[in-house]
Amino acid sequence: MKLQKWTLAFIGIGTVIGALIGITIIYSTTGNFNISSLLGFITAALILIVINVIKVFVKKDNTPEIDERIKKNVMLYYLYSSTIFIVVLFLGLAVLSFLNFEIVEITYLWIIMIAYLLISGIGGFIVIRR
Amino acid sequence: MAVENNIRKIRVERGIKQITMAEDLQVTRQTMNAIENNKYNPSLELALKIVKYFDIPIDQVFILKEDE
Repeated sequence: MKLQKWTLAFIGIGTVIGALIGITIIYSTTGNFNISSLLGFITAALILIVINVIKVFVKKDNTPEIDERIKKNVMLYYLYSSTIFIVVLFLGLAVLSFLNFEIVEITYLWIIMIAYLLISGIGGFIVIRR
Repeated sequence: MAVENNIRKIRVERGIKQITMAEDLQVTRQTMNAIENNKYNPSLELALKIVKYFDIPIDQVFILKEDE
């Protein structure tokens, strides 16, 4: 419960750890250590940590960040958003198949995946605030 | 059948602030507001916590409205 108010900071630290693991794997396979992307991740993590520290010092009351209503709302949101995503993906694939496309570039799949993560992440953040 | 409650009425009668009650029950102020406005039905656990908080019978806090 006491650690709950530091969620954003933990997300930031997790991001940097994940980035470090990813960049190390890339380094071990290709020999290139992408320092610029690591700096980007560190900047993002620092922004999250600073926002978290400000929030903790500004908040006066002792209410939790997340409770049963918010958990339920977030669960419903992800249920709907993931279902909509799968339906859109299915329709997209159906249209492509109908247009006789037989090959789809992996890059496009990554774009769709990252767009979904981004949109659902922002949506989840909004749902938590409501 | 809808569930309604007298939480706001009882709370105001006892002079308890919404934020104080939210802190004591460990829920957000928005959730407390949603419960008081019958926009959100609390879980059984939270409902029992509310009843214990006021120390009165459950039927004086929550009312099951029959469909007309």
